[in-house]
Amino acid sequence: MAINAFIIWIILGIFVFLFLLGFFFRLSIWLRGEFTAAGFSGKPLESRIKKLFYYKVIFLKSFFSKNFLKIIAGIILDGIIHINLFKDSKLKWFIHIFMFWGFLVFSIITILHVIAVAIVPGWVRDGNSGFYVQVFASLENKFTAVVTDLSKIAIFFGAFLAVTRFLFLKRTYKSVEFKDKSAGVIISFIGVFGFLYEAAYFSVMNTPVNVKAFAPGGFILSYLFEITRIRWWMLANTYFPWIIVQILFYIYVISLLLFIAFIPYGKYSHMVFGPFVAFYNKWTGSRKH
Amino acid sequence: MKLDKFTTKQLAEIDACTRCGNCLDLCTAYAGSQDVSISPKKKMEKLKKAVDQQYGIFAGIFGKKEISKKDIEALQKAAFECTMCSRCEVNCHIGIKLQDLWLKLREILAEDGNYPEVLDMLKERLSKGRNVSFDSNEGRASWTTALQDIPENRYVKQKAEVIYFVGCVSSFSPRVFKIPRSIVQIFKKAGVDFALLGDNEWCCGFPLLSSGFKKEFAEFARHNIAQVNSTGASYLVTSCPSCYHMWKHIYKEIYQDIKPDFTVLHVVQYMNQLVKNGKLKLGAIEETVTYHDPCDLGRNSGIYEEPRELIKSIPGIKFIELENNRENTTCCGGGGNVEAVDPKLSESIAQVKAREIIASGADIVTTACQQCVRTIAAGLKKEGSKIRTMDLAELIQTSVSNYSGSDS
Repeated sequence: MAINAFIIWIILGIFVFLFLLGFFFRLSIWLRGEFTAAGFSGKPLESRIKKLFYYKVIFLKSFFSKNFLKIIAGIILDGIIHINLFKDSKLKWFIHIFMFWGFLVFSIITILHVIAVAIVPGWVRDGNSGFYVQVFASLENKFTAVVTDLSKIAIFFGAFLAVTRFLFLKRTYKSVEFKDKSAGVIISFIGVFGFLYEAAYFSVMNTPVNVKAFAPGGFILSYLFEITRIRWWMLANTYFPWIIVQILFYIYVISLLLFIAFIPYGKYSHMVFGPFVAFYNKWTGSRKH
Repeated sequence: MKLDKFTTKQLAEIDACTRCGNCLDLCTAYAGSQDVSISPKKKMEKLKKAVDQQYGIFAGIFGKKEISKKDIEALQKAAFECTMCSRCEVNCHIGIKLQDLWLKLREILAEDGNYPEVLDMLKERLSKGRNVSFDSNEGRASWTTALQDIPENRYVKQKAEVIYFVGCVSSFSPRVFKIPRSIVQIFKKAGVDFALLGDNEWCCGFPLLSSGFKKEFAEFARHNIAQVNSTGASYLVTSCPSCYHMWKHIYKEIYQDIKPDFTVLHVVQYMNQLVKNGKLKLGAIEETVTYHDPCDLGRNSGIYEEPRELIKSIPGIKFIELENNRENTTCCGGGGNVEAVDPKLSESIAQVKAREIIASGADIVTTACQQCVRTIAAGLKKEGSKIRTMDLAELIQTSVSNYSGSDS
């Protein structure tokens, strides 16, 4: 019944390694570019390490400057509330805010859950574990259940709005936007497996309704499992149901972590780097007339 | 393609682009052509793909993949069919300096010879004649011949308080000679001590820089700065927004070793000062007037209020704004050498602009750029409109000549 903690730690290790490798690999691409900096007099820097150090100093100096409070306000408005998008289009803002926040919260809570499961590989519910494990290791914890489900529901709602908007777009805009929808499809796929994992977990654990109601997505699916006899089929063998839960857990977790690890490498890199560049352009004395 | 010629910041910006498509809605070249392939969003996609092909993870593992000829041609088309109006920057949530990026892209493409052939002709004209026309640079001040009561030197002299940098189009295109002539009359009326550089005035270099010929540009910038410095002038006044943008921002940015000893002003700013100081008295014009913000003066230099103040200071004028004004203004189609590269595209952009002007209900559309005057007038004519197109200097000159001493 217990999940293999060693395998989870290996998966997490590979994920962190791939993500950091991608992050620094992408930085190294940027640092191939010509060196320019406002007010820098002297021979342009050639070494990528020197350039990295120089830009890092500019970045930190700008951050911890007299504008610190303005920067924090800017981070809240631009990075958290996405005020520019709100001013631009309310519908786009709704889509973005649901998907962005849904995915961010979903990713964080999933990673916390994975770590907790690795610490106590049996999806504990006995109450003898520490606070962190009590909260995150079990899907029967009300907080974890609510947050996990709401974040996924937000993603699906955002995706629904995006698809609806897409259907009403002009033809030329459709051709432009179509290629950029792959992230939404992948995230939705991961979300579906998240729900299936929850439903299987609730079915196998025979979770009471008043507990699983906190995770409405998993609850409804587990109910469907019952009326379609899938649950009966899952419980037909002592070990078999846990194998299904484990398979769904691995598919869900590995696909999410792989997706996040892939972000710095390819076309979704703006998800990680966009906020940094937006900050740099706004606060580090880029040309303004 | 040498993509490492982009700056570190620009390579980061290419990665940071969210492909939200806000720039697509704003792109005037796209509005004029309905061709998505030349839009900023598509350019960004192509650049991102090119960067990944050259330096991405697969390039790191399996070796660089050459950018295909087809992709380079597509990038070239998109890069040179851009008016460089920088409207695409206005609503970028990441704050990407797109105009700088497009300029650099042109430079990188031009370095490998990937640019429209017509630009070779432009380069040749500039290197031989020092101006964008087919005429000799000795005829720089020929437009003054129609002016009455002017000194024998035609204002070409060694020392003066103000140097009027006329620019190539106003100097050589008879259709807009009214602009420098109006300015000279205004300066005379206000008692300004000014001079022209005559054939010592070379093109500001903007057509070269915006075509990607940065190396050739250097000679022009250095020559012009040295010439104006030698006059001991306190002010350099230009009537061309692109010349203004070069003098005010680009020369300083590129050549930190050359220090201009004078203040650079656009003639709109200078005329506004003259009116405020009471040196110019304005007479009534009973017309409805709208104003088109030239891209290099407005969005690229931040001058929005002075032209409006100036128009509103003319008695009798009813001023109305265009639907897209200030930083949202649409391009007239005359920028970025598009008129030379794809005249039809330039025309269709001008027609989009003309329709916006017609919808405003104005009698006169005024602007502060000789190139905008040319393209807007042509666009309005094509739309069958009788709205008059005037440079702000012409409008002020008309107002000055209308002054009877009793106007307030």
